[in-house]
Amino acid sequence: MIKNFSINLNTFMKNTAFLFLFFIASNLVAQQESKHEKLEAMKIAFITEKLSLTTKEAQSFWPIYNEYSQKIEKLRKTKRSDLGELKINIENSSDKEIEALLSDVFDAKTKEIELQKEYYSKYTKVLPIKKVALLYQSEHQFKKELLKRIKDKK
Amino acid sequence: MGEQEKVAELRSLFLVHSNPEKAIEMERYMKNNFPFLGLQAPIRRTIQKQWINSNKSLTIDQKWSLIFELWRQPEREFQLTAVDWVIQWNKKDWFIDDGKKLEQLIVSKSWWDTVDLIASNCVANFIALFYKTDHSLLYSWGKSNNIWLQRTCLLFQLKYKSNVNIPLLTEFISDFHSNKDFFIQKAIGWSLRELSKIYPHQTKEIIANYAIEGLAKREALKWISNHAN
Repeated sequence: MIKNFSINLNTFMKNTAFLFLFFIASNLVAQQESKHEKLEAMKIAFITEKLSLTTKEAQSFWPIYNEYSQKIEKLRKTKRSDLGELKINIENSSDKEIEALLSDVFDAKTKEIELQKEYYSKYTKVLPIKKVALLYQSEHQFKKELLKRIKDKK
Repeated sequence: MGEQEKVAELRSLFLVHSNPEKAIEMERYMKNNFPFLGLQAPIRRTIQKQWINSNKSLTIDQKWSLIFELWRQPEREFQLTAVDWVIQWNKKDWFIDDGKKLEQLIVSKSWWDTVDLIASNCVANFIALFYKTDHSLLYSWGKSNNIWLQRTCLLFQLKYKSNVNIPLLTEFISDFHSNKDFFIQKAIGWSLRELSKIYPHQTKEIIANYAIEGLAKREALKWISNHAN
């Protein structure tokens, strides 16, 4: 009876610990997602303010830009994880493994440039060239302001 | 361009960034009282800023027509835009008979997100301009049995700081404190909390004299308890 109770208690503790960890992990993921959403909203607001798009321009431009943002985000995630792994395993990896990894990183960088070129051409079809240039300037300014804010907070 | 076309233009700009997933979250937060497009606040504010700027040269009557057209739209983002716009108006944009228009905004599509902003900004300025000593408009709102007009009577002085009319606030607290509606009790607490930042002793007196209890009392004493000593 006591043994059964102790087994049940053990299982209960394990389940509770698992649920607790699961709760913490999903909360962290949700927090990350919400931070990312907020940043995206801030970026869209920043670009909207700088570009002063007409209704027609906005309707054609934003779906293209959102599509680009999703693709570039995916690409950058892959690149970051590759570089991260490289930093950790550099002593224990073989030369061939490092070569392959570096080659992947350069591939990702090349893909990023190709993607940027592809979307540059799409932007010029819906926006005047000055607004396209303003877009790149605004993206850069947004990053700068964000970094400044993070620095100021520290 | 008529007001319907102007609002349709704003709708097109909003729709570019509408987000059905976000809309569900926002609707849930507002207890499913209103549909939303799912626009996040920074995006909505930037779009509405440009739209408002493009309508700055309109006459005050045309501006009011646009405000009511925004109010007629089903999605909440349009009412929030209307409120943000009216808040920005200058003294010269207000006239003594605008009380009825403010009342319309308070009693239709009422919820705390618009009513509190209208009360503590628009009504606050309007009363200070035209009804500083004549309280007939506020009394008629207080007697209306509409909780949102009554909440407005409690909240319009929130930002008055040392200029707050304590006897008037006390009068409204005395009239409404027996109403156990959440939004009334919360407003009593909130108005007293703001009062306590300037006049803590008078706040405590009002709480004692009118036997303010529960939610209203907890809210009212928050600032005083956090700043004890």
